[in-house]
Parts: sequence; C-alpha cells; structure tokens
Amino acid sequence: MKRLMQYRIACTLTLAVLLIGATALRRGADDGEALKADLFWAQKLSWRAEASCVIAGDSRACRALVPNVLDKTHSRRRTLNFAFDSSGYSAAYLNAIEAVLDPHATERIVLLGITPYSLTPTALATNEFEYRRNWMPFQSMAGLYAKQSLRYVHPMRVDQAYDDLIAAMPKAATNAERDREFHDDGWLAMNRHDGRENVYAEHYRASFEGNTVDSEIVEQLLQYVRDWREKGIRVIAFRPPVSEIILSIENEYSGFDESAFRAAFEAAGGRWIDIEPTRYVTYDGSHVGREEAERFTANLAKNLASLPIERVFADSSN
Amino acid sequence: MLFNSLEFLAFLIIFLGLWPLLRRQRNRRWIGIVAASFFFYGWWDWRFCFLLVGSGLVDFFAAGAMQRYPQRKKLLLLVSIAANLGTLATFKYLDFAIDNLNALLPALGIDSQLAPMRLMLPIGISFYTFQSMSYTIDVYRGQIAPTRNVLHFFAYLAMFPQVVAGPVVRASSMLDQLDAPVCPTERDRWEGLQLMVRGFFKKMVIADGLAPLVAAAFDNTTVVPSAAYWWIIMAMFAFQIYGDFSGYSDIARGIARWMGYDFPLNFNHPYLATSFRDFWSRWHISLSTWFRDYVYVPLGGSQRGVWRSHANLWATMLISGLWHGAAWTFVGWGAVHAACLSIERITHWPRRLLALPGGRHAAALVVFATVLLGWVFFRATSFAQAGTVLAMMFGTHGLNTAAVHQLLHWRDLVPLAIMLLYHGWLHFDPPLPRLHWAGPVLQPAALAMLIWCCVYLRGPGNAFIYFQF
Repeated sequence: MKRLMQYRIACTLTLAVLLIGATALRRGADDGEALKADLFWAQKLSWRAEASCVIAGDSRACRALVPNVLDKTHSRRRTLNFAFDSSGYSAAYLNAIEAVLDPHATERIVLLGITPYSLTPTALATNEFEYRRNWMPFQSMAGLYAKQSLRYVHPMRVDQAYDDLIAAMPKAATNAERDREFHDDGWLAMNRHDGRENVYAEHYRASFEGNTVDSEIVEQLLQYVRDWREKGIRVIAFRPPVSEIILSIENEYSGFDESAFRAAFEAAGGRWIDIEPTRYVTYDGSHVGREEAERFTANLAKNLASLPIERVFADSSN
Repeated sequence: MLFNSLEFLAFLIIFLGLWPLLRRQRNRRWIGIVAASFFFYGWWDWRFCFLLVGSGLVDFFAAGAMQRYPQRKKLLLLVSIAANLGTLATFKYLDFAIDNLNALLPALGIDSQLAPMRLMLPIGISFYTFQSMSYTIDVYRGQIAPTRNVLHFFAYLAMFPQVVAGPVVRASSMLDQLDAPVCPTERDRWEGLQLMVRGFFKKMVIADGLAPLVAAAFDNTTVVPSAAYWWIIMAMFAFQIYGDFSGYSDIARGIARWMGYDFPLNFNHPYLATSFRDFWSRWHISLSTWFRDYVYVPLGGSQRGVWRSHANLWATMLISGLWHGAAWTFVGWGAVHAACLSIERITHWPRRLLALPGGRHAAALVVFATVLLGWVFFRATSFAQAGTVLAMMFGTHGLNTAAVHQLLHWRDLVPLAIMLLYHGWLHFDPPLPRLHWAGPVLQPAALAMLIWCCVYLRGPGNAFIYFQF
C-alpha cells in the first residue's frame, strides 16, 4: 500500500489514459458520423461574403432546398443553404445570413423558409445555430480539419455518453444519422422514404403549448426585410414542404396566420412564393427526402425564374 | 493562452518538465518564471506585456525609493497608486465615464458628444494592478522590505498561474517563498495534481456545460415568462461563475503547489454560507481580504461609529462591484450585497435563525436564494433586463413549469444536479465510514474518472469569465 502511495500520480495518469483509450475504441466508429456533422455545421458558420443567394430557415429548409438545382437555372448565381435545425429568426441569425451574402454580387437574394416554429420564442432560445456557434472551439477551417486528428477525444453529451458506452444497443440511435448526406453547399440530404406522416403530430402540437408565434419576432424579421431591401437585397419567402396533418396542426395551434404574415412581408418589400407545400411526400410529416427535395427546389427555381428581373449592383460603400 | 487549451497543456508539460532544472538556483528560478510568465501572458497579445512591465516597474522603483528616501515615502506611495489606478481607469473605465458624461451633457445644455476611445482591455489588468499596488502599500506601511532584484519582483507579479485571474497573492507571503530554496515533495505534486484536476473539472464540465444555457436565456430577446425557469437559470449561473472562477483558482493553486509554492485558498464552498458575512469570508477570499485591508480598514472600518461603519461597508462593496466591470449593473450587484450586509449587522438575523431548530438549513437557503437574486444584476446587461428577470423570478407570470420542460433537456440539468448534490452532501455532512485503507486505490481512480470527464464531457470551450475583469 505504501508503494502504491508513492506511485499514485503515475497510477492516476495511467488509469486515466486507459479509461480514455477504452472509451475512444468503444465509440470510434460513431464518432466519424458525429465529426462529419460537426464539420458540416462548422463549415456553414465559417461562410463569409461567399454567396449571391442564401437559403435560410430551419431543418425543413435545410433538407428541402438543393443549391445545385437552384444554380442550374442561373449560371452566375452561387447559392448556399444556410439553414440550421430548429432555427428561429433571431437577430444573431439574421445578421449571420447577411454576412454570408457577397457584397459584390450583381444580384443578392435571401430565400427565407418560413415555418411557424421558426417564429416562436423557443426556436430563438434553443437551436442548432446558437448551439453550434457557442460550441465550436475552433474558429478556422484549418482548426476544424486539425480537429479530425482529435476525433477520439471528441466530447459527448451526457445522454450520448449513456447511449454510446452503457446502453445495450448503442448503435440504435445512430440509424437516423446514417441516412444523412452532408453537402458542401449546406444541403443536408436525407435518404429516407418512410412516409410516417402522423408519427410526430402529437409532438408538433405539444411544441406550440405556451410557445406560439411571437409578434416581436415577426416584427424584427420584417425590419430586417426592410433594411435588406434598402440595401438592394431581394428577399423571397416560402413555406417549406409539410404534410397536410402537420400543416393543419400548425395553423390551429401555432398562432401563425399565413395570409396576414404574407401581407405584412410583402408590405415590408419581400416577395412571397406559394408553391403548395403539401404537394410533396415527407418522411416524417415535415421533412422531405432527397428526391422530393430536388423536385421541390426545381419548382421553386421555376417560380424564381418567373419573377420580374431586379438586378441590383452592389453599393461600393458596402 | 487559456488554461483549458491544448497549447497550455503543452506549455505546462514543458515548464513543469524543466522546473527541476530551474528551481535549484535563485536567479535561474526567477528568470525561468519570468520568461515563462511573459510568454504565457504575451500569447494573447504581446503588446499587453509592455503595460505589465510599465505598471510593475513604477511600483518596483517606488518601493525601492521609499526605503531610500523615507521622508518622501508618502509622495512615492501617491505616485504608485496614481499610476496603477490611472492605468486601470484609462483602459477599463474611460469609455464607461465617457458614456455617462455623454448621457449627462444634454441635461447641462451641451449638444456635443465625446467619442468613446474603444481601447483594448488588457487581460487580467484588475488583478495585477491590485497585486502590484498592495506591494507598495505594504512597503509604505513597513510590513515588508522591498526587493532589490527586479526579476524577483516580476517573478511575484507576473507569475503565470495567477497573473490573469488571481488569486490576488500578497507580496508578504510570495516574495519570501520565491526567495527561499524550493523542493516540492511527492505529496506537494499529488496535492497539486488533485487541485488541477478538480479545477479543470469545475471549469470544463460544470461551468462550460452550464454556460450555453445561461447565455441563451439572457441573449433571448423575448424573456421566458416562467418563475421556475429563471430560478433554475440563476442557479445555473451561480454554479457557472463559481465553477469558472474557483476552477481557475484551483488550477492556479495546483500548478503553484506542484512547483512547491503555496497560493492562498480563494473559495471555501461559498454557497454553504449561513450569513452574508460568512459568504464574503468564503467567496473570492483573496480579493475580499484585499478590499478589507486596503479600502475598508483605511476608511475607518468599524472603529468610527455605527453609521460610519455602514458607510464604509457600502463604499467598499460599491467599489468592489465596479471593480468587477465598468457598468452600473455591477455597482447594483455590489449594492445588493452591501444592503444585505447592513441589514445583517443591524438585525443579527443569522444568529437568531441559527439558534432555532433547523436554523442552519434555513439560513443557508436564505443566503443562497438572495445571492441568486444578486447574480441577476451581475449577469444582466442592463437594469431593465435585470428588472424583467427579477419580476419573472418573483412570479409575475406564475411558476410555469411547462417552460422548463420545453426549454431544458434533462441532460442540461446534470451539471447543476452534480453541484447541488455535492453542496447538499457537504451541508448535511453525513457520518460516512472513513475508508483509510481504500484511499490509495480510490483516490487515483476517482481522479482518473474526473480526467475522463474533462476529456469527454467537457462543454463548449469558453474563456474564463473573470478574464474580463
């Protein structure tokens, strides 16, 4: 025992290295997926003055809009999908959207995917954009790639630790992650086709309990639209694909009045495009898979092309 | 260079590896500490080093001159204090003063406005200026003799474990330690390692785990209308700032202990305090005692009558509030604590409560709840926001537990639960069997587990809160 006391520092450090090594081996495979997601979101956060067209919104816009399809109709346009899961239109997010736009582009467009949830206080308080912005320990992409070498000591949340290390079926929770395909232009393609459109209905209804569309958030968004219009940025909004069940839940419980919002949005200088969001097959009631995303974006591109041309040259003072 | 960064880990391993070669000879020891400390401090911005050197040299020469020209030592002390406070005022409070002046000018019928200077705030300036100032004051009072070696002085002033966020180490204890031969024992290194690991755990798992939730709550443009939610958020902030700051202090003390030095205890479970006086004898002890010795006592302390003692107490607490940040909300935080201390002195309520059955638990609960209310002013960005949050906490919109379920996941509450359980356990102090025989096995195992938690359960890597002060 006395000898053990003498070597307790060495014992502690050896034990710590063994524990960390064992953990790294146990969760090594899943970590690759987690790291891919980290790199995807971090790359989005690193975009500055890169696009002439920026797609914004929550997970629905993130999965439903394919920049590549939008750019096919316009050779000089560079579109990036800057949507984040559960994202609300906070001032920080709206500022970040503008920062992604290239001030020297001849035409600058912001495409806003409007969902009732994105205009609620909860969406502003907890969302992927804020979470990732606070989380990323590395500021540069070089740092992010350096991080790949640290994948084995990638941090995890407490519940994730339970799934990865203790729960009997650690892989079960990651099936959904395996369906994801991360694209450099910010599109998150989902290779899912299961049409379980009712499965999240109750969850959606509950998400609006004490959390309805906030008039201050709407007014703030409209103020940004006015400011952007003054800067020569075209602002176009649409409702992303959704099943009829979820749409009726949203309309009944969220306090969102689409026609009133549309009128106020257009009065602020924006343009609303109606592309019948319920015409697309969703895999969970509110998100579309790869093929439907391409179909939806192609339709949106057609609508965009039919809009009157409004070419605005960037102000040199920007 | 943040303590919770890979570059610091590399720096520390190299420094502690070289330390056995440096510590044996006095000059080599001082040169080693000074070089490492300036490298560490300059990592943020090398220009900061010039301010640290300038501020230190003024005090080094002022203290030396006091010994040489004792008849002019008052003047020399004034020069030293003016230089230190002038530096602090320029870099930390100038824009605050300009903003307030600009708010006043229209009332005086003056239309023009002063442009803010937007000077960069050097990291740790509040800590090292106070430390440097205490050196000249102690020399003036004859409590210590000035050192004649500038390296010795800077090894004390700039010593890297404490230069940016304390503990505010006194020259009276540190100069002697740095002068004497140092030979850390295996026990020193073990205690040092324990302190460092505990500090990293508090910072990386507890404070950084809670930080995003508190930030989200206060950054939100629409305040969540729920008393339950805001009490939880404020409890989270209480343990965030405690974990952040006491974690830093533990790491600093641990590094010093590994080197063979002793830094003073800075936090002694402040949330177990049963009175506000008790709280301030447990929270940021090195700064509280600094304010006591260099502000409260020189003002007259409690020796000049009841009203004067209350006035001195208020002055000290308001200055302490302003020291924490150049904003009126920090002064508000100081005022809350001054009011609580004053009420306590007048009513002696803790003594009366402690005499009742269960009084210790009630007193601890009252102090903790009031401290949470005080933290609202500390964390809020304006009095308006503080007022809104306080109104929510007092239930103007009801308890609304649904908001808690909606906005907080159970995993978010884990760091808070750990801290509450740990403090509860310490408070009730149950008679546990003493496992002396298992210590050598359990202690390394527990410490290895904490290291594992720091690696895998760490929160987003935020800078230490107290760096801004």
